[in-house]
Formats: sequence, structure tokens, C-alpha cells
Amino acid sequence: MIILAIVSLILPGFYLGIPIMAGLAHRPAPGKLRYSDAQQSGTQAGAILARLSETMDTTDLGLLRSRLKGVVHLAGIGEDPVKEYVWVMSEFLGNMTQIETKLNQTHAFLASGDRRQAKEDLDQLERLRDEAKPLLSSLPGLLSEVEDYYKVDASAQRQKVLELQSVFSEYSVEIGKLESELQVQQGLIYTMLTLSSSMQLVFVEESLSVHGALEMQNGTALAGRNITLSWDWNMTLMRTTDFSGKFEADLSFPVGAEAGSNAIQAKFEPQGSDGSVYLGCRATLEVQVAYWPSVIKAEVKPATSRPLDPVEVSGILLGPGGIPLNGKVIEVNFDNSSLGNAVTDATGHFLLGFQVPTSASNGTHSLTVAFVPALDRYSGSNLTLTLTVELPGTRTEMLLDRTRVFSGTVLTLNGTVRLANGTAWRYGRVHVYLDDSLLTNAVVMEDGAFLLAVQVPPNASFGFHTVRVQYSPDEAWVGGSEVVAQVYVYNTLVLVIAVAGVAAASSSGAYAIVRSRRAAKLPPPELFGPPPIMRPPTREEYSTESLTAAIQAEHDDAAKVRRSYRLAQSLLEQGTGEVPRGSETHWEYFSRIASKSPQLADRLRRLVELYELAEYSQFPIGADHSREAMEIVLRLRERV
Amino acid sequence: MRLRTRIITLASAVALILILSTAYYWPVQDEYHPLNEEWNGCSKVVNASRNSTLLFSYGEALAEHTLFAIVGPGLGFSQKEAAYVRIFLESGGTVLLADDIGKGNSLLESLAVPARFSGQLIDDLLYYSKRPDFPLITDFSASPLTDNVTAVLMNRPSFLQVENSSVVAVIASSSLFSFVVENGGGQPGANEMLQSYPVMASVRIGKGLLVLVSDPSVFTNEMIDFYDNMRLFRNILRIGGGSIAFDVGHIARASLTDLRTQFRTEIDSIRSSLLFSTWGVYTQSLIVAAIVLALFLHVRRNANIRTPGKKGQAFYAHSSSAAPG
Repeated sequence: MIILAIVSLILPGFYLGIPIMAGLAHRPAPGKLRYSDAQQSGTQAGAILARLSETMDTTDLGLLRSRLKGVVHLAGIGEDPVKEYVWVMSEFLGNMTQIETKLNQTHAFLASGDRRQAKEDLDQLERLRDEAKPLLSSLPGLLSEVEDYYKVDASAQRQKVLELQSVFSEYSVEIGKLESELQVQQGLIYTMLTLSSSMQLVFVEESLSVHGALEMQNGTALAGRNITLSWDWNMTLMRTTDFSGKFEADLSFPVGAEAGSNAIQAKFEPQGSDGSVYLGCRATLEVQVAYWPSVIKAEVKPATSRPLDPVEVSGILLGPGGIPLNGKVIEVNFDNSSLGNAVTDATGHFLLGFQVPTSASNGTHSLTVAFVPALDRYSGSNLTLTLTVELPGTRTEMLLDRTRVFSGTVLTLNGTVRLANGTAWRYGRVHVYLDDSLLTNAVVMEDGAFLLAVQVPPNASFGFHTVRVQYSPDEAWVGGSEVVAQVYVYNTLVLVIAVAGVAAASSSGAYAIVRSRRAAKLPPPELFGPPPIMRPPTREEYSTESLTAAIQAEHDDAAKVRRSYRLAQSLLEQGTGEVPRGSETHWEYFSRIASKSPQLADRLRRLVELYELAEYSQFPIGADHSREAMEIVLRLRERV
Repeated sequence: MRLRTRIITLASAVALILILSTAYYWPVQDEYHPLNEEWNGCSKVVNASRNSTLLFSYGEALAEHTLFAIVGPGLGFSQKEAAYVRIFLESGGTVLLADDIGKGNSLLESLAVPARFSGQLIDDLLYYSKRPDFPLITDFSASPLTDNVTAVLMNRPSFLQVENSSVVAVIASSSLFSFVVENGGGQPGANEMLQSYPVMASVRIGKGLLVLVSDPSVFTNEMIDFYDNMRLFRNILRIGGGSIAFDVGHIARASLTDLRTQFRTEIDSIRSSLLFSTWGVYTQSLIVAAIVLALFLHVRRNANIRTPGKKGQAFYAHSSSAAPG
């Protein structure tokens, strides 16, 4: 009863009260993510470059710079080419913004004749220009890295970089003019240099003829002066002007030169005594540099295959005019992962065989065949082919030993894993979930079968639950599968509590009914009038016959002994006035009677002994004992 | 008292103690709650001030030099509550209203502020930490609120729709690579624009200042330690006067949170009184003495009662029916 009471009150407190209260005490948070749980995500280079190109107004570098401020706070600048590109761009724009400001200041100082301050500013401008130049020159390379790393098209951004190069060139020219202006203010003769070329578009390693002239501000030619021609960052050439101040040179852009707009600069720097007479000057010529084009043609056989199947990629690489290109390296990529390289033969043909990667998923994949030149006069070319991969699918079948279970008991699952064509498949594991909670997992046996005994969680609630068996193959190139079944769960704990509660309630109800019936048998108390006079039993009521009959009426000997003892107590109460007390034991009762009536002690002791045996021991009470007890009662009657 | 009654009483008492203990020790887990010490609570910003008050309802006037922080309101504001805030603002107070779901708009409407919380979440493609859900705000305009603040980390913020920029001063904006989240976030949809959105603004109302932040998560326990989030909060707190009154009344919280908060406060108060006050020590001594005396009396009484008494008692109770016939 004690355990029942504790179980029926405390356990519901645990299993119902606390969870309910916990629900009331806790409001689940809405969709905010926890920062420490968040995983790094990849950079979406294409969208970033596109947005950058949209918003890059190269006519307002200050605004552009302000839009990119704070880029230094981005994590992983050194590891992510996109972030590095944006950071370098931001740094370059910072320098350009300062150059813009300083140019205006220097103009103002020159206009006011403050040559000392103008000289200081010009020095700063040259420093800023020298810092900005390598930043600008690194942008195209970074864009190439971005394109290679993320396989995105950065042509729009390249165009913006060209615009920035143009702005930078303008600022460089402006700085040069300011230098000249400062020198003119210092009393030197102004000179002019012109520069032109035979063509505007030149291929690498193709000869380009440039020519120009040097003259004074009044148009007088300057003969015998050295002109330095520089191009492609580090290529230089020196020519001397003829009698008419003219000069010419043949030059070419080497392999490795940046494709696109390139500047050729001619510079006259007065030397010796000319330094105190003439003012230096520069001229810049923009030409478009291009690499010789190449074309790649290729095919893949077979176009549809399964993992580990052999596949061949073959094709031809052609140069301008359809000439085959010999000894060129062709890279083949499968979904951006390199499969290997092939080299073209004398006829320009190439062939690469490979096995379809086991990591390939089901569906269409891209196969990129690319000629990526390294220090080559030919430009790269590529071609994207498609290869369809078909993964063998699997089918999982399962049988449950029963569909209704008690929580905490064991449920047996028996099943098999087969390929789509019905062949048993063994490589992998099966995971068993009950309502998305993982219960167990096991390795699939050789014949594709699995046998699992899972324990239904003891706290599984009443109702239908989903048993899901998920097959995860060891080989990534085999498709997984799963099978789902429903089981009805009876929560054992709740059932036990309910049964215990019902039992407790039934017991309490039965007890209450018995008590109420007993109470109904008692005569109703009289509410008014004098208290009833308790009439002592008459001697006739304790006659030998009535006592014998009362004792013999009991159903067994032990009951007869107990009845004898109680009749003896009643007799003694009437005879001696000693009322039995509820708080005393039978021996305490004996002691009290024996002290008052010693003559009854011997008989009463034996009766008490018999009573003790009948009431409190397992001792078998026989007819002799009951008869002895009855005789003692009859003797006591006589004495009393 | 009968044995059965005693057992039931004892079991009930144990169950009650269990439930009350749970109510006391179960941590407050409501988002933005100042007593929530977990990652999504605001206990750190409340503790950042030397003098903090929790405001469960708008009644008593707030003290001067107090920052009235309304962070993550999950319930709307009545006209009466808006009037209360207006009075506080007009008298020179500072109010921080950080919201992302738009519940603070009812307050802005009542205060006639020409700005609204959009209720739409934004991510950022480039300026983020870890993933686009955590935009990094680096574009700040010059303001005492953003002194020495160069980067603030947000957690799925919304943005502000400023209707009149001459009244509402935008003090921080997302980068021009941010976009409104429509389909689960992470990357913009085909027709979504990448653009900069205002995420912080301030409005002068009377002598006071209303600061709007479109992401309450900036001030949660986890986010407050990253980048310049705490510096931003300290700037707001400094302008507010150094003390903070945190609005709990508008946080969407579980139904038992307030009751448990009150219960915990009372228990803490009683416990501290019992442990540390003079009369508390005397009371404890008296209780201990009473328990010892009760135990002594109980043992002595039991010493006089010996079993078995049940059968004899039953007989005595029914002795009148023991007579034959």
C-alpha cells in the first residue's frame, strides 16, 4: 500500500507534472540560428562578382571605396580568392581616392605659386602611384584565380579592371603633367613626344613597329636625344632621335604578357647639360595584345555509364587556320575534379581513358576538356561535354515480428537488401529509427539479409510510431534505400501506473463499501432522551450450552480457540469488572487478571497460551486444543 | 492521523516539493529574457550596467539617466504604453528598440516615427561571418552611438524602412551584397536584388533619443561578445545615462515564466533573509529546537505503544457482539 501510494502520487509528478510544467516554463525559440553551431558556408563568387560589376561606377572612386569599406573584417581573406580580390580592390581604391584628392591640392598649390608645397604633394602622389600600381597589376591575376577556383566567368569584372587601369593611366599622366608644370615654373623648356604604331591589335611574339618624334614646345625638332621605350612592365628599349627628331623601333610582347589593353610608353629624360635646359616628357600608346586562338573538339564514349566503367575522351586541338597543335597538354575534369592530362600528338589528336569515379552521383555530370596553356603563344580553349552516370539502386524489405508492442520490450526486424535487379546486396549498414530517433544499426549479412532486435524506448508514448530502416551502402556509387512500417506502442509505465491506480481505487472503494455496510448494521444512535442503560449479560446467556454452542459454531479449531479466549474475557469482565484494554497485549491482560484474581491464573495462563498459538503462530491447532480451550472457558464460568 | 492518510500526505508533499524545486531551478529559457543566461538570453547586457531594473509593466516613471531597452518585443504596444514611452522620451530619456519581426511597429506608429521594421530577414553574400545568415555590418555613419564601432555581427536581421530620412537618421547599413531572404536564405532568388539596407537608425523625440536596431540578436549573450557588438551597446548605454530598465513585459515568454521569476525572487529573498539576518538565525534556531522536541516526544510516545494492538483493539471495539447468541 505504501509503495502504491508513493508510485501513484510521485511518479505522475515526474512523468506528467514536471514535463507539463516544463512545457509551460519554456517557450521554444523561433528560427534564430546559434552562431557557435553554424558551419562555414562556401562563397558565391559568381553572384558577388556580378553585383560588384553592377555597382562599380569607376567615375566615382570615393563612393566605390566607401561601399567596400570594412572588407578587412572578413575572415579568410588570404584563403578565398574572391575575398582577396575585393580586399585588393578596396586597397587600390583607397590609394586612388587619395591620389584624386592630392591631385586637386597640387593643382591649387601650383596655381598659387606655392612650389614647395606642390613639390611635397607631388612626392606623395608619386609614392601613392607606385603603391597603387602593383595592386592594380595584381587584380587580373586574382580574377584568373577566382575563375579557376570557382569556375565562374569574371569577364565583366575584367572590363571594370580595364576601366580602372584607364583611370590610373589618366592619373599617372596627370601626375606627369604636374611634374612638368612644376619644372616649367622652375624655368625649363617644355618638350613634346609623340608615339604611334603600325597596328592596334598585336599577337604575342608578333613584331610591332612603333615610331614617334621629339620636339620643343615651339615645334623645333630635338635630334640625338635618347628615347626610352617600355612595355609589358619590364621590357625596355632605347632609341636615339634622328636629325628630324624622329625615332622608330620594332618590338613584340613576350609570352606571358597580359592579354588585353597594354601600354607602350616612350620617355625622354634630359641627361647631362640638357637637364638644366629641357623639361622631360612622356608619351603613351595603348595597343591590344592577344594570344593566338586555339579550338578544341572532343567527344566522350560511352555517354552513359556506371561507376567504375571505363570511359574515353578523345579529340583534336587546332590552332589558327586549322593547323594541328602538337605537344599541348589537355586537362580533363569531371565535375571540377581533375581526371588527368593528355598530350596532343603531331596531328593534334589526344585520348584519355578513365574510370567513372565511385563518388559520382546519379544523373548528368560535366566533363570539361580544356587546353590550359602555360607560357604558350596560344590562348586556352575548352569544351564541356556531358556524361550521364547511372547508379544501381537498392531496395530494402522488412518484416516485423509484431505490429503492437509494449514500450521497453524488444521488437524483431527481419529483412533483406537487394539491388534493383533483385540481386542480394551486402555491403553496407542498416540503421533503424523510431520516429527519427536512431535505435540501432547493423551490418548487412552476406546474403543481403539483416536481423535486428531493437528495444522500444521505455518512454515511447501511446499510439502509432514509425519504424524506419535505412540502408546506407558502403560504396557511394550504390544508391541507398529505406523502408517504413508502423507499430502501435503501449506505454508500459503508464499502463502499470493505471493498473495500480485502478487497483488502489478498487481496494479503497471496496473498503469504503464494507465499512458503510457495517455502519448500516449498527442501531442508529438515539439523539434525544437519556443514555441507554447497558444491561450486563445474564447468567443464562453464559450457560454451558450457549458457550459450547458459540464455540462449536466456529468453523475450525483455531477459530474455536480464539472464540474461547474472547468468551473468557467477557466472562471475566462480568465477573471481576476488569475490562480488556485495546492497548494491551494478551500477556499484559493475563498479568492484570492474575494480579487481581490469582485463583484464575493457572487456567487463564493455559488459555492465553492456546490463544497465542492460534492467533500469532503457524502451530497447527487441533481438536484437542480447541476442546481444552472450551473446557477452560467452562471451568472459568464456574469459578466466576 | 491514520497511516494511509499519512502516506498520501507525505507523497503529496514530496510531489509538491519536486514540482516547486523544478519551478525554482529550471532555467529561464525565453528568448531575449534578461534572466536567461543561455545563448539566446540577454543577461549579459543587463549585467553590463551597474544599475538595472526589470520592467514587467509600464507603471512607475523611469528614473533619469536610464536607458529603456526594449529588445525583441513579441507583443504589440498599446496606446497607453506608447504614451508612457513618449513621456520618457520627451523628458530626455533614451530608448533602445531592437526588433526583427515587426512587433515594435505599433510603438513607432503611436510615436509617429516615419520608420518601420520591415519584418523581412536579410542575408549577405560577402560581408558575413561563417555564413550569409550572420551579416557583418561595417557601414556606419558618424555618430556618438557608433564611436569606435567598425563591425557589428547580426543574426538574420530584418531591415528598416525609413520613410523620411530628414527625421530618421540612418546610422548603419548592410553591405551592398545583402538581399532579402525568401526561400530559406543562403542565396538570393533569381529576381532578388542585392542592395544595401538600413539596419540601425536614430530619431530625436523631444529631448530624448530613440535608437532603432533591426536585429535584437545583436544583444543576446552569444552575439554580444563578437566584433564590436558590446561596444555598440555600451555606447547606447552611455548615451542613455548608464542605468538600464529592461522591458520584460513585451517579451514573448512562456506562461509560467513570470510566476517562476516572482517565486524565485521571493525564495531568494527569504533565503538570504534566513541566512544572513539576525532574526533569521534566531528563527532557524527555534525551528531546529522545535524539530528536536517533536522528535523526542514522538519517540517517547511510541515507546509506550507495543504491537500487536490491532486485534485487541478490534475485539474491544466490538466486544458487545462477542456474547454468544
